Amino acid sequence: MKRLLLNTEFKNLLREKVAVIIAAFSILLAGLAFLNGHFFSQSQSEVVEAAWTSQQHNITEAATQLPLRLSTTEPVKWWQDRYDLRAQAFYVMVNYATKPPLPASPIAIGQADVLPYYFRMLVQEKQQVVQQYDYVHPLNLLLGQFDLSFVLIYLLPLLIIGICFNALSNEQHSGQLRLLLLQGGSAGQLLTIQILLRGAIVLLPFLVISNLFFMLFREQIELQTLTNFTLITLLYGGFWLALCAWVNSRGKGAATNAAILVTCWLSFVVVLPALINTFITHADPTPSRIQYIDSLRASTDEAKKAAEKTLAQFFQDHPELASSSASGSDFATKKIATINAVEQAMQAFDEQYQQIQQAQLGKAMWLKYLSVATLTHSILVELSGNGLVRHNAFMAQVQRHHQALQSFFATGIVEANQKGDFSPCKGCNARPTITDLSTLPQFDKDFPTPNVNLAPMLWLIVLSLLLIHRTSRNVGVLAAPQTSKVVV
Amino acid sequence: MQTQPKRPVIQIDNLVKTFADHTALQGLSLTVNQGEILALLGPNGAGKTTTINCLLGFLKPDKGRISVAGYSPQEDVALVRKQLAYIPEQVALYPRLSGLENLVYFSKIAKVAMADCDLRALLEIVSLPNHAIDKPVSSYSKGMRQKVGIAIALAKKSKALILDEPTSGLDPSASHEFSQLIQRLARQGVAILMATHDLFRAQEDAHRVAIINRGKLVETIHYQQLQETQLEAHYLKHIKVGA
Repeated sequence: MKRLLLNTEFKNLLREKVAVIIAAFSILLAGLAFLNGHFFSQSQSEVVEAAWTSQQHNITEAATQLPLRLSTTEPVKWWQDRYDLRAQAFYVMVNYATKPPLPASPIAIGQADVLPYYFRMLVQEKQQVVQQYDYVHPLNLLLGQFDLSFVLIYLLPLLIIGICFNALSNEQHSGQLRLLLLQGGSAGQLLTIQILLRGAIVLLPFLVISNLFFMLFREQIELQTLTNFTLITLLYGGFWLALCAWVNSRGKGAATNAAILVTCWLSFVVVLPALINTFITHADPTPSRIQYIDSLRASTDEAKKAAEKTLAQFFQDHPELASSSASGSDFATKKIATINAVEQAMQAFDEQYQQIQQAQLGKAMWLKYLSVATLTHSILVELSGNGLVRHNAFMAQVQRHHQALQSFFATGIVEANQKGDFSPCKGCNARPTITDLSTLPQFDKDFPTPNVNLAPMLWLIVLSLLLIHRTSRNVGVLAAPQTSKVVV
Repeated sequence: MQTQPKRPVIQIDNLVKTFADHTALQGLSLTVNQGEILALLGPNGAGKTTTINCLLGFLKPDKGRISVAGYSPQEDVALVRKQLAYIPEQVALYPRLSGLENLVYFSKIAKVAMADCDLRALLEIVSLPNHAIDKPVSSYSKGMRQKVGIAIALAKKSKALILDEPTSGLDPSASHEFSQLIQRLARQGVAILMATHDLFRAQEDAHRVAIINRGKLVETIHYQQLQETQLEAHYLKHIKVGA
């Protein structure tokens, strides 16, 4: 019976041509979305690769040109001298912290187009590095770019609605359902076959093309990632199919069903995410960026004005660097001390930012369950490696790296200063204080990133099961004798 | 027409059905015997379609009893539907499938054990033009669709056939062909209940005519009487009295 229903439904859809058009559309959307995400990700990879090449090239070049620097008698400006710790620290260092896109990146660009993914490191206030970008709310920019997640979350439900809105209701209102029931057929089986087949026409081409393109263009992609992507697609698509089944089982006309389903789409995909965003940004507003920059400037001015006090405080904080030498008050040491002082002064502001971001994330974590679109998008973005979880891990690594560089240079500069390397004699060039640039702390790209948590997708399963349960009840009623009016 | 009525297949006893604001059936009782064609005549709103819906198990009567080949739709609707075939005014077929594909589909759903070639032969029996058998139903005339409907009913080999305004909108030739087909079914022993407005067809085809008005049976005219009766005059008399 199921096979017969399936064959007949397939023939009907094929002859309607709409199925062919929708399948072709699904293929086209999947292909375009993948390529758009892939090219975006590739451009980021190229930037990251160029940064690392430049860093390696700089190390090699410095090693090659060291004899020339050692033998030169020409005056060398210290702030341009790559063998001078001070120049490296503040001006010429080629040292990058990068977040290379993952092979799964084309799934969802997310906020990868607005969040920083590489930094050229210098010894400066960490606020100049890590706070130079505005925080963007995790659920903002949901629309995002035209990637696989956009197609899956926004467009595939519309295709599903477009092909499923008249399932069963067409038979119910044209009379075939009455004949089917009189012949001993089952409305439930018919609806199930219709919904599954129509869902397959939308989802299968999308999955086949996107998985195929991943295997062709992103060879390093793991099978686990593809499995997760497929699972998420099926669960999200499954929810929309269950919703269509439920709406169709209520016995209304096809036009009413279409109106209800489009309203559901608008609610879940557009209105609810917008409301969640609005609520979160109003409940925990991000502090003023202007106020932050003003505070940073004021702290810098304050630290510079109280230079001596700042320096004393620095040595008090770093007794290992303090020595009997009186030459600690040079430009570089003072600059490092100032950086330290500014960082300390800004700590409260930074914590405020972090607290607010955590509060926003905390609310988003729960409120995303209100909209299946937001829930799915948040997981897809994390799966692609362009989400806030990986980004925060990257930023934490950047801060550790920044700290390591600062500590490396602070120690080196103070020690070189104490040894008199920066001014060996009047009119002489400074002695090279760093000859091997490979000894500089390097950014560890393998920063720890938590695994993607698929557990929230259980909520979709729960919702789908509830809808299926209600559908099965409604369809059962269709076949039974009615008391008030004929429904078939 | 000469087939003698045998044991009852469809029995309706004191059927009452009330909707929110009106009573559609007020104690209607009818019987259709094996091999008999009973024409159910009545004006719009007389309760013909409500009676059919109760018989088919789509409506639950408030009172009364229905039996189709010994089964009651109130007790086991699936078993009742197994005994029945139904041809409405507009046979609802899938317009993009051919006549044969529709017949195969609905027959297989009814678990009819007939090969596709036998089903094709069935369409020839009901005089569906050969060139139309494999064409989509959307290109069929109403008469051709009715023929496919008859073929579905024939294939099912049901004990009872319910017809709801089957000849409405058919041209005289198609209507005549249709009559011949249902008479053939009656000769095979199928009990046929035909709700219609077509007095001519009722007089020509039916063994008995039941006139109902306002949910009540007002008169039953037997075949023998039918030949001598001015059915139209009878019908109008009852309807006017009822009104």
